[in-house]
Formats: sequence, C-alpha cells, structure tokens
Amino acid sequence: MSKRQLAMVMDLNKCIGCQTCTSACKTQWTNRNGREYMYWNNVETHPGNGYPRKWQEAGGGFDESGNLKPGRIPDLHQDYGAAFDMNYDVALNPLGKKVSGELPHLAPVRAPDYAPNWDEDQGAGEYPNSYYFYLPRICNHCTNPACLAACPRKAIYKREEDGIVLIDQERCRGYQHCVAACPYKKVYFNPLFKRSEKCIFCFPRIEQGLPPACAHQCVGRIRFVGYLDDAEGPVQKLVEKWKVALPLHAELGTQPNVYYVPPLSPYQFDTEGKLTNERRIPDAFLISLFGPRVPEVLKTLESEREKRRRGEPSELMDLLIAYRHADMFKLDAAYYQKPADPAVPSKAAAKDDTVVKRRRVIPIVAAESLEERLEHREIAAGNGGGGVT
Amino acid sequence: MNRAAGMRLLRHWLYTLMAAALISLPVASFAMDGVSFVPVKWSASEPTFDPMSNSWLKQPPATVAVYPQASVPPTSAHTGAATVKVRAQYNAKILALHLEWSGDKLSEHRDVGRFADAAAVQWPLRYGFGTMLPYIGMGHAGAPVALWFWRADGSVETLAAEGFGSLTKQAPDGVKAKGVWKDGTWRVVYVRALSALGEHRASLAPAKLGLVPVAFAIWSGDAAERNGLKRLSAWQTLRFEKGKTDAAYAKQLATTAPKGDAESGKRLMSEKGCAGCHSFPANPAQPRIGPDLTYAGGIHPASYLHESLAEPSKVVVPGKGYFMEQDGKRTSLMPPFTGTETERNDILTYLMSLRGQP
Repeated sequence: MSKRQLAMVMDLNKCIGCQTCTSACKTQWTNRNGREYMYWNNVETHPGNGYPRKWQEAGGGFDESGNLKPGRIPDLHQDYGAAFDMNYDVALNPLGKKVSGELPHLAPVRAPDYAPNWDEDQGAGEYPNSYYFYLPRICNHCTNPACLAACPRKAIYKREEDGIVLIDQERCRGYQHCVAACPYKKVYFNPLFKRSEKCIFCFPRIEQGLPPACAHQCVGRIRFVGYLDDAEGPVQKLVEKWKVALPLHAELGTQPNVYYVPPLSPYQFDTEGKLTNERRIPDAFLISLFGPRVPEVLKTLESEREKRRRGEPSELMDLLIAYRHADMFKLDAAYYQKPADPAVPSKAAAKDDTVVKRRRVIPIVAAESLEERLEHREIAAGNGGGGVT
Repeated sequence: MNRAAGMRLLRHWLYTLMAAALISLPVASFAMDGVSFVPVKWSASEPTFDPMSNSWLKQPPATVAVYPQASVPPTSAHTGAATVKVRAQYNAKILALHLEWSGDKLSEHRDVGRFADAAAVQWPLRYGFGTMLPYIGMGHAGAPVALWFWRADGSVETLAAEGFGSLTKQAPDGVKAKGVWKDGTWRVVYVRALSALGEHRASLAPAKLGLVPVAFAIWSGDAAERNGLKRLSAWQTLRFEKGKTDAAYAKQLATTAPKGDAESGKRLMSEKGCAGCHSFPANPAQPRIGPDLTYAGGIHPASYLHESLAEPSKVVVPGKGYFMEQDGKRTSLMPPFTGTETERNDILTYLMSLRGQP
C-alpha cells in the first residue's frame, strides 16, 4: 500500500453529460499516435452498455478468495468503436481534382459497429417514468489493482507517494493481460507503440498542485480531488465524514479510489398520473453499481437538502454545491518537492542518479508534440506558411 | 571373464553399432547417452539468410519437441507436444539457425486483442563443464539467459532474463532474423556473428567449446499466445561440426534419469504428498499450489528435477502461491524429499516420462 492515496469524488446528481471532461482529457493526452480510440475519461449513460460496450460483463477483477477472475479484451470495432475514418477525399472534392456529378455524402469509410455514447440518453423505463443518469469514468487508481496483479512483468506499479497507478513504458511489452484483468476496462493497448496505456491522474499537474484536467474543466463542478488521509480535504469529508460517496463495483475486490455520490431521482407517476413513493431510478439498480449503502446515502442527501431548503446550514450541501475550486481540490505541490540534497560528494550523487532512474510513464505524445512545436517554430511564432524569402 | 563383464562388453558393442547406424542415417540429429545433439554444419561459404533456400531445405533437420508452458499461469491454450525442425550452419564468422514449424493460422500483426506469431532462441550466458544449466523458463536468479526474439511482424530483439518476469530488452547484439510463411508453415532464419561484445550476450566460440546449450520457444498469435503462453523445448545441445569437443561436458549434458520404476513412481507421487500441490495427468485433484508437472519430463533435464527434489528452494518457480517470501528471499512451500534412494529414482523416472500423454 502506498504512503498516501489520492482520490476523486464525482457527484452524479450534478453531471450533465456535456463531455467537457472527456474533451479535456482527450486533447491533453489521447488525440493521436494510436490513442485515437482511447478515452481515459469517458461519460456514459446508465442504464446502458457503456464504453467499451458491456464492460461490466467483460470479466476481470478478483473473486472472493482474492484470485484474478478471467477477463476479455474488448474488440476495437465492436466494443471500443474505433474512431471513424471519414471519406473526406471523395466527399469534399479536394482542390486540384476534377470531379463530375454529385459528390457522395460525407460518411465513415467503414460502417461503424459501435462508438462511445452509442446509446447516449437511451436509459430505461417507460414514459413517463423513464430514467437515466450519466456516469463519468476514469481509472480508479485502485488500492489493489487487478491490472497490476495480472502483469507478469511488474510493469505496472502504484506510486509510493500518492497511490497513482502507472505503467512503466520501458517494462511493458504489450501482453494486454492488464486490459483483460481490469474490471473497469480502463487500460488500453496502443496499437502503434505496442504497449498498454492508461489514465495517469494527470500526475504532472498533481505535482504542481493542480487537479487533473477532467476535474478542473468540469462545468458541472461535480469532481472533488484530494488525499484520503487529509481531514481538511473534500474527499475525506465526503467519503469518511459524511459517508455519501461510494466506490463503483467494490465487490470486484480492487478497492477503487474514485467515489460516486449516487443520483437522487424524481418519484414515479402511477397510472392516474399521481406521484408515488418509488424513485424513477430503482434503488436496486443503483445498488448493483454502488453497493448496499445506496439507500442510506440517498436518505442523507435528501435530509441535508431539506435542511438547506429550510434555510438551515448544511456543510454537506455547501461542499456539494462547490462554490470555490479551492474547496473542491485540495492538493499539495510542496509535498512533491524533494527535500534539498545535503552536501554529498559529487561522485556519490552521480551514482545515485543512475540507481534512481526515473521511469518513463508519460505517453510519448507529450515529448513528440513538443519536438513538433519546436520544429515548426516559425508557425508557432505566427510566421507560418510564407516560406523563406 | 565373468558373466556381468561379458554383458557390459556386449552392451558396449551394441551401443557402438547403434551409434554408427544412427550416424550413417540421413537423420542429422542423433542421441547419445540420452542427450540429443543439434548438429551445426560447417559451411565454407556464408550460410544463406533466405529461409526458403535449398541449402536449408535439403539439410536434414533435428526434430525438437516443444510443450505448452504449464508451470505458471497464465498457461498456453495448446495441449500436447508439437515439433520444431531445427537446422544450423556456421562458418568462421557467423552462426545461422533455421527453425521450421507448422502454424495454426497466420497471425502477423499485433493490435488490440491480437497477437503475432513469434519464435525465440534462448542461450545460457554461462555454460561448460561444471556449470548447471539455467532454469528452462527464462533462467533463474544467478543463472541468466540471453534471447533472440523474432516476431511475425518482422521485428527481432535481443533480450536477457534471469527468471520469470525479468525479461529486459538489450542493446542489439547484431542478430538478424527473417521469417517466411508458406502453406501453413513458418520458416525462420536467425543469423548472428559468433562473437558479440558486451554484457548479456550469447557467447559462441566453437573453437573453444563446440557444445552449446540452446532452447527454443514458439508462440501462436491466433491462439492469443504471448509471454508465458507459449510452447517451449527442453535445453538442447548444439554440436558444432568442427568445434572443440569436451568429453566431460558432453557427459555432464548426457546425465539421464536413474533407472527406476515409473509405475512405482506414479504411486509414490500420491503417497509422498506430491499430488497435494502438483497437477499431473494421473492426479484427479489438479491442485495449483506448485508447478503443473504435465510436461515436466519434456522440458526439464533429470538433473533439474533431481535438484528440485533435494533442494526445492534452490530454483523457485514464482507462480502465485508457490512460495513464501521473507527478507526478499523466496522459499518454496515444498519440503525437501526424504524418501529412500530407490523411491527417489522411481519418482524421477515417472517425472521424466511426463510429456503430456493422458
């Protein structure tokens, strides 16, 4: 177990499914170089198949005696729904090509089988009692990661300082056991670099005291980030003090560190059009995702909400309303600053450097995009396109 | 001359005759005192890099059995033995190996959930008289191996390992490999200079020692094989045609299982408690507390099994739950064998007979 554990809480009552988190993550990490199909952060509709398709039925995680359960590697087209290649070259009549007749419609070259959000907003139930909610998902940075347990090469490790789960790109040989073993299907194989990759909890941002991009950009302000052992932080308040945040599929034994505040929902109508005492999202459905404590949590949420309605103070509601980023994200840049080196002979220091070799975990894209920008310095400086005069 | 001495002499002559008969046969691989040599043919010109060349196809191959990896999960999807035909040639500068095996279905590329066919050649970093061979599965602590790994996508890597999970890419040692798939069969040629400077390199110096241990493994991408999901051979011995022979080393490599009673060994596997932890065909319980022994005789030399019985913690197979770890030292859960000499020989004879037969 790591010294400390970073964790995230997502309040599902406030998620509007806008995918700003998804875009923030994708533009930051996964928009090229074999990552096109990956969504380290995705938002899916539940009830629904999710992304990758039917991930909840794809196995992985641990059984009751702590042994890895077999899992399936999702199919690129059927389950992930690989990024569509469009027929731009024929449909958009590119310059310099003489085309007669009507142009074909712009369409994917290969008829898609699936895509993230294929079943967006479908949900379940009959009108007027139909229902759905959004479930944003990132890597759970589990305390007992199944991906780590499944890797025969020990390429996956939990950072000692904050429990972030990372894949050492130098050790990974692309065997994909982790992809099958993760019950959340949040490890992805990069077909270009032939190695597995996953959400890194934006650790370079964390080390600067900033929350992950998905949390920072969230317009619904549903995400809270902090250390589980920090009593002043929002995460401990929601998870330990108020006990309103629950892990997803805890029964799979990985001890996930992303917690969800389960969604309240309006009451159902009966055939006469009168409100009943049954919520539209059945408790049983929420329990199947977040465990047996769901009814208790919904009760707390409702009673605190009532308090606020009556004009009484509620620490929980103030926290969930998320007035200020400072209250939502409690990080600690200073924690990551290495203590100043005592004066040591330079020879010993050099030796230490070789031993404490920093593991490469940032996807190659980051370094490459930097190189690219430097190569096109003229363009970056706003002088692009002109050629040398 | 007494009767026993007469029998010895007769046996000696019989063996000599048999050896002569084997040498004269067009089968290039021959057994001598239980050890199979893979002959490395001297070639005045440079061996060809083309796997389909007649200079390869006309050379009689040595047939090497490969068995599904079953010792540590995850295990190969295959059952039963398969064969790889091995041909080898060398000249003053280079060694060339030609492997040929029938594939399932061609799988050339790696992608999401897809794996490529592959083949590897494994070398002990240290060998020679008095040196114990590394554990067949990627070596063991203190006994590293060097590997040449070819994949159907055309890539070839120089690797080294010192036990399960320790496989590490090395700076290329100059090995080249080329594979051709034709009519359901892979033919792959590996070529490398005999001498390769640097750490963790296969060292080949036939002028000093012409007997070199080597092992092979193949992966079927179509059967989702990768890493430990593979089929592997036992240690073989390359015998360089003009290499320096070392009678003592040849003898060491040739140690066969003591002649025991396999049926009695099978019974003793239950009586002595082996069946409580190890799976093998005659064990209905199929436990997973120690390495599966279904192919033990196919992949291990008798000397290794002998050592494992006497000192189970000398080489610990790191399957989950197979061992205890204290202060970084791994201790096998297996107690050292305490039976009689006869009982041990019976068990060894039985273990050496395990090659995947039902």
